[in-house]
Amino acid sequence: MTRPTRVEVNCTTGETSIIELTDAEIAQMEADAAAHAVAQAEAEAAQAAVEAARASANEKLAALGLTTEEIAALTK
Amino acid sequence: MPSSRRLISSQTLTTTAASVTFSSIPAGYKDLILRWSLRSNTSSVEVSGQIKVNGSSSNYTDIYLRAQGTSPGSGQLAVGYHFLSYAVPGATATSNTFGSGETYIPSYSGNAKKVLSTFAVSEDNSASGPGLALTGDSWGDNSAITSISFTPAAGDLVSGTSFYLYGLLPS
Repeated sequence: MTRPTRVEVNCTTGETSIIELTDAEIAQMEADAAAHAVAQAEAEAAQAAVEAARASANEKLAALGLTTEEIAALTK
Repeated sequence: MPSSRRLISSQTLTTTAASVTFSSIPAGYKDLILRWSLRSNTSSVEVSGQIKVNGSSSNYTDIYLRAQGTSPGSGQLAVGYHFLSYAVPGATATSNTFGSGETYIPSYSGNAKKVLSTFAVSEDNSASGPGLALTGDSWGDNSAITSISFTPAAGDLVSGTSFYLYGLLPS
């Protein structure tokens, strides 16, 4: 199986190299991808929680008799 | 702020690559700008991007605003790279579209902690795109920055992807 490669440009010499990733670099890339997936999921879950709380609050305000325009005036 | 810039180096891929690195960046400039046009071959509409300086996987603290389609979000992350949410179009984005963006690094060769700021958009002409990333990052390391690398969170960068590294001249 072909190993993934990276491109490295030496800004001092102008030389461009195509380098096969080492086992350590592949492991780091996989660790970064895993950390990224966790971070992305956490960020999306936090955003979803905020949006759910906002919807719940709007429903409670509406139940108190506020109009859509009045709720918007309070929350924006 | 410096008023003129000089192209330090550029790279346009002619085949796929897992990442692109600019190394041995000279120290004679005031600030750095990295600009790009890129796409990943992973089977997603969009994936995020990761920038590392000096090959470091630590000391990054990101504050970000992001959006994919109609879903905006914001937050703070402490991960091992400068985090660019939804910045890279993938294989299921509109054909032949590329994401574009720019990272600004002031005082990159100084001996204080560094700041990176990025504005990036991944192009996709569907209801689920495009993606938008605005990220500010404090890299808690006093070392001069001598290398910058860009890696998509999944897949490889495709042929036609290009990067341009500029140095801003002292005014």
